[in-house]
Amino acid sequence: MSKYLDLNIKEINELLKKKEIKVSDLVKEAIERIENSDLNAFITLCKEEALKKAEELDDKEVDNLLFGIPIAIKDNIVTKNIKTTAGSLMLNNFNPTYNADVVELINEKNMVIIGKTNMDEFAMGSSNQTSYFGPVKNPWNKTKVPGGSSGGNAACISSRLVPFALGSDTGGSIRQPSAFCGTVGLKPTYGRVSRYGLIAFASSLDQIGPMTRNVYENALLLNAICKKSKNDLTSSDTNEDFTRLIGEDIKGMKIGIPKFYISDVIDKDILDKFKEIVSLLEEKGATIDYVDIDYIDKCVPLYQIIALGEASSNLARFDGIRYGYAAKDIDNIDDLYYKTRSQGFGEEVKRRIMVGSYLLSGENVDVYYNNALRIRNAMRNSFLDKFNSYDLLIGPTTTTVAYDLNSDLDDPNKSFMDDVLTIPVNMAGLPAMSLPIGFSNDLPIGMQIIGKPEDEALIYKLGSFIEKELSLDLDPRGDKDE
Amino acid sequence: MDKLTEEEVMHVAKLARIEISKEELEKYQVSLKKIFAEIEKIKEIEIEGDILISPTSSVCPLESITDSISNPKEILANANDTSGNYIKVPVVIDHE
Amino acid sequence: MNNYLKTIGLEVHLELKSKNKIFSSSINGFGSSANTLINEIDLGYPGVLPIMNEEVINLGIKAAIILNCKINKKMHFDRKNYFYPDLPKGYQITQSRTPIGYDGYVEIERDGEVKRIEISDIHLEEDTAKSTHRQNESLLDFNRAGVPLLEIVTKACIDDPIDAKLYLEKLKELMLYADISDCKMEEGSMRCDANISVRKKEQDKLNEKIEIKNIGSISNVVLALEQCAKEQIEMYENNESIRAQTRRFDDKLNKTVLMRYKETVNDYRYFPEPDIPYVYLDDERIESIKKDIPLLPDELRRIYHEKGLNDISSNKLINNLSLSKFFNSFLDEEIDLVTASNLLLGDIASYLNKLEITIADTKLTKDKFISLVNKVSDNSLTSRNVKDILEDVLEKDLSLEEIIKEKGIANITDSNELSDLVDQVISANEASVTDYLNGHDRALKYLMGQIMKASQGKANPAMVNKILIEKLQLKKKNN
Repeated sequence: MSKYLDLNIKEINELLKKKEIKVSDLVKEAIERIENSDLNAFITLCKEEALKKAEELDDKEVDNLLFGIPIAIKDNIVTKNIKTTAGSLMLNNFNPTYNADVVELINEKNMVIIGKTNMDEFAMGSSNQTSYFGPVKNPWNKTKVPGGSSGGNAACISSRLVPFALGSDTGGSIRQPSAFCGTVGLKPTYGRVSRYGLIAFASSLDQIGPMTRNVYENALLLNAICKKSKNDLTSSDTNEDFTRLIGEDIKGMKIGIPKFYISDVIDKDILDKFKEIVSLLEEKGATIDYVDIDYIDKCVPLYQIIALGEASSNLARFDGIRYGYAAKDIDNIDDLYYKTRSQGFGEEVKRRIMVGSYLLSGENVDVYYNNALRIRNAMRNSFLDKFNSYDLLIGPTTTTVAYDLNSDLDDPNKSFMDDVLTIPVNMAGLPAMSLPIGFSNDLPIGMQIIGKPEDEALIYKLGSFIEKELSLDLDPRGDKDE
Repeated sequence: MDKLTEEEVMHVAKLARIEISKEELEKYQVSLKKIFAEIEKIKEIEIEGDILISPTSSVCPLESITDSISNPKEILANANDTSGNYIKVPVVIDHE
Repeated sequence: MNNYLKTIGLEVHLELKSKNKIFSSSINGFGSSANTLINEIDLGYPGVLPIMNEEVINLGIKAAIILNCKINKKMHFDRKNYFYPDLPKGYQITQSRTPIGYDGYVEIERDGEVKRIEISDIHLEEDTAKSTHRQNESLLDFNRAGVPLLEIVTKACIDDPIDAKLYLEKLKELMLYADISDCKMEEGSMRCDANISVRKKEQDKLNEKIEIKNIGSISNVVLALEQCAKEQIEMYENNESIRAQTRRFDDKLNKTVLMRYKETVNDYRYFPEPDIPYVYLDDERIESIKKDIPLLPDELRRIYHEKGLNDISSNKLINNLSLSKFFNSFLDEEIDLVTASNLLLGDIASYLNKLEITIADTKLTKDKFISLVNKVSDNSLTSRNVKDILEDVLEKDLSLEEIIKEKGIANITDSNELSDLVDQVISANEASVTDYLNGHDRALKYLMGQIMKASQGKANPAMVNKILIEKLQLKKKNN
C-alpha cells in the first residue's frame, strides 16, 4: 500500500508536479484507507465521483498546493447530488440541488471530495454519539469518543485517512474533537467563511472551518475557503494569506490567559501540560498575564439559551413536506408534523428543540433570551477590551481528554459542559484554534489560541511556533504498518 | 423538584411539534428539568445595555439583485408528495 | 345600538412591486405556472440563507415617507415562528422591534372635514406560499413564498366603519400612485384584516376585540364591521361575554363566522433574525427616494382644480391611474386641459374599457394627443369627427393629419364655399331667420344644423358659426 498521504502537502505537491504520482493514486490510496478503517468516520464515501474527478485532474496542470488533494466534508455541508444527512434520519434521503459556497471554493482549487463525514446529529453533541449513523471511534483508543460534533473529521484526519477536512463549529465542534484526536482545527472569525450551504444549528454561532494534520496546512485550507459571498449577508470582506506569519519569532508577544481557563474544573494532567507551554512561551520571550472575562463562567447557560433558541427555529423547516424524511400513514397535517419530527429526529435533537422552543415562548423570550443577548454583548466587549492589551489569549481546549464511549449518556448537560472552554469564543465571534500539546494516558491534549476578530494569521504564527517547539508524534498508528 | 410535570413537558413538545410516548415522557421530565436548572443560573445576572444579535462586523449590504437561474423541477424532486407542479400535503385543519 | 361606541383597527398587507423577491433572487410575479418562480431559498432548503433586496427596502422607505412615518434608520428583522405548510422555514422573516416606519398617519376627508387615521407601524416581511385546499389535501405553490409584503397597522383609533373605508381607499390610492403596490384585492396584492370592539358610551375601558380576517373588498370591510359590531352588541345586550377571537366575514350570508379563539392561537416566539445584520438607512438614501416620489392624489386634485377641471373629472382621472399618469404629462403643455380631460374620460376611456386595455397599450403618442386636443378645442374637429377617427388614432401608427386625410374628414374651410352654403340655407329658411331676428336664439342652432346637414357634416363648424352670425347681424342692421 502506498503512503503518499503520509507526506506533507508540499511533498505531495512536488510529486504531482513532477508527475511521479497522479491524482488518481492519491484518491485510490484515500479510498483504500477509508475502506480499511473501522472508525465509522464516514457516512457517505464518494468513491465513483472521486475517482472520476481524479481522472479528469490527471490530465490537468497542477496549479496550486491543494490541487488533487482528497478532502473530507462534514455531512452538514451541502454537496450537490451527494446525499447530505447532517447525521440524521431526517435527511437520510436528501439530495441537495446546490453546493455550499465552501464546496464551490474547494472545487475551484481542484481538491477532490472523498466523502461526507460522520457527525453528531445536526451538530448537536460533543462525542459523536448522537449520530443516526452510529458513533465514531477515537483512533488513539477505540473505546474512547473522538469528540464532536465534527468527530468523523477529527478521526479521519488523525488516522491519516485524508489530510484535509471541513468541519463546523457552533460551540466547539471543530476544536473539541481536534483536541480529543490530536489534530489541528480552527474556528474562523464569525463571518470569515460563508455559511451558505451549512445546515444551520445556531445561526449566530455557526462557522465553517478547516481541520488538518498541522498548522501550516490548516492556514492553507483557510486561504481556500475565505471569500466574501453574496449568499451570506453576515460574511465579511476577506482576502489575505493566512500562512504569511508562520515561522516568525514570537519574542515580545503579549499573551493573556483567562483565569477561567485554569480553574479546577480542568483535569490536572491537562493543566500541567498547559503550564509547561506557558513556561516555554515565557522562556521564548512572550509575556504572559492572567485576565478576567466578564460572564465567562455563565457561558454554558448562555449558550443553551441562544444556541437552542435559534436551533428550535432553524430546525422547524424539517416537516416532511418539501424534502427529507416523512412519516407514513398520515391523516392530517398535524399528524405529519408530529410523526415526522418524532421519528426523524433523535433524542438529543428533540430535547434541544423543545428547550429552545420553551425559551422563546411567551414571556420567556424576555426573561431568558433577550437577557442572554445582553450578556453576550457584554462578554464580547470584555473580550475585545482584552485585545487592546494582548495579542492573543490562550487556554486548554477541553477540561478532560477523550472519555469512554457510552459514558454519562444520562446527563443532558454533559455535552454542553464538554464545551465550557470553547463556547465563549463562539459567543464573542472570535477566531480560535486547537492544536495538540501532549498526551495524558496516551490520549491527546489540546490547547486553544484565541485571537481578536480577523486575526487568524497571528493565531497560526503562535500555533506553528508551539508545534515546531514540541515536534510531537501525532500519528496514532505508531510505527506499525496497517 | 427534580422533574417537570407531565403538562410542562407536553406543552414544550407541542411548541416543537414533537410527539412524546408514555415511555419517553418520564425521561424528558427528568432531562429537561436538568437543563432548565442549568439555564436558571442566567437569572442571577441583572444587566442593561445593548443586545448582540450576531457577532458580525458586517452591516447588511444594500445592493440590487440579479435574477437567479434555478431548476424548479430538481428542487421539487425532493418533496414527499406532489401533484402536477404542486407539492401536496394532507388536509389542513386550522386556517393560520 | 346608538348607545354603543365602536373601536376599530386595521391591518393591511400589500405585496410590493419589486422585480425580485425580498430575500431571494427569484422573480416576484403573479399568474405564472405553479412552482416556476422558485429557488432553494424560497423553499427553505437546508443550508440556505436570506439575501437582501435593496429595491424592497427602498419601496418600504417610500411608503414610510408617504404615510408620514418616522423611519428606523437602524433596523433589523425578526423571526415569527409557527408551523403551517405554506410557511417553508417554519418561521416568517418579518420586523417586530424595529419596523421600517412608525408613528405615521393618513388624512381622510369626510363631509369637508379632514381627519387623521393614525398608523402605529409599517413593516417589511415575506409572503407565504399559496395553498389551495381540497377535500383531503392542500396543494402548495411557492411562487408567492418570499414575495415582499408591507404590513400597515393602524392604531385602534377609528370609530366608524365608513372612516375605515375612506382610509382604505386613500391608502390604496397613495400606494398605487407611488408605484409601491398594485393594490388588487381580488388578486391578493392588497389584503385587509380588521379588528373591532364595542362598548357602552359611559364605559372608558375597551372590551375584548374581535378580529375579522382577510376581508375580500373595501366595501365588504364596511359590511363586515357593521355586522360584527351588531353581533357584539347583541351579545352584550343578552349579558353574554365576548372572548378574544378571530372570525371571517361571509358576505353571502352577511354574518361573521368564528375561526378560532385567541387563547389557543400560536405563540409566535419572536426573536431577532441572526442571518440578517443591521440595515442602516442613511439620510442620503431617504432624501433621494423622497425626491423621486411622483405627484400624489391630493396634490393632483389641487392642480386639476387650478387648471379648471371640475371635481367630477378630477376624481374620475385620479381613480384611473394610467389615464391620470398620461394626463399629467401634459400639465406643462399649452393645451386646453379641460378638453384633454374630456377626451380622455369620454371616448378614449370607453374604448379602453371595452377592450380592457390601458392607454399604454395603444398607439396614442404625446404629439398625436396634443394635435387632437388642439383640433377639438379650435373646433376643427367635431365630436362626431372624433368618434369617427378615434379607433384609427388609437390603433394606427399614423399622425393625426394622415388619419384625417385617410378618413376623408376634409373639413370645408374655404370661406367662399361656406358663404354660399350659408346663403342657400338662409334663403331656404326664412321663418327661422325671422325668429332669430325677433330674439329667438334657438333658431340659430337650427340654422347651424341645417348648414351642417347641407354640407354633409363637412363644413367647419367654427367658421360656419362665424359666417352665419355675421350674415344675420347684417340682415338685422338692414331691417
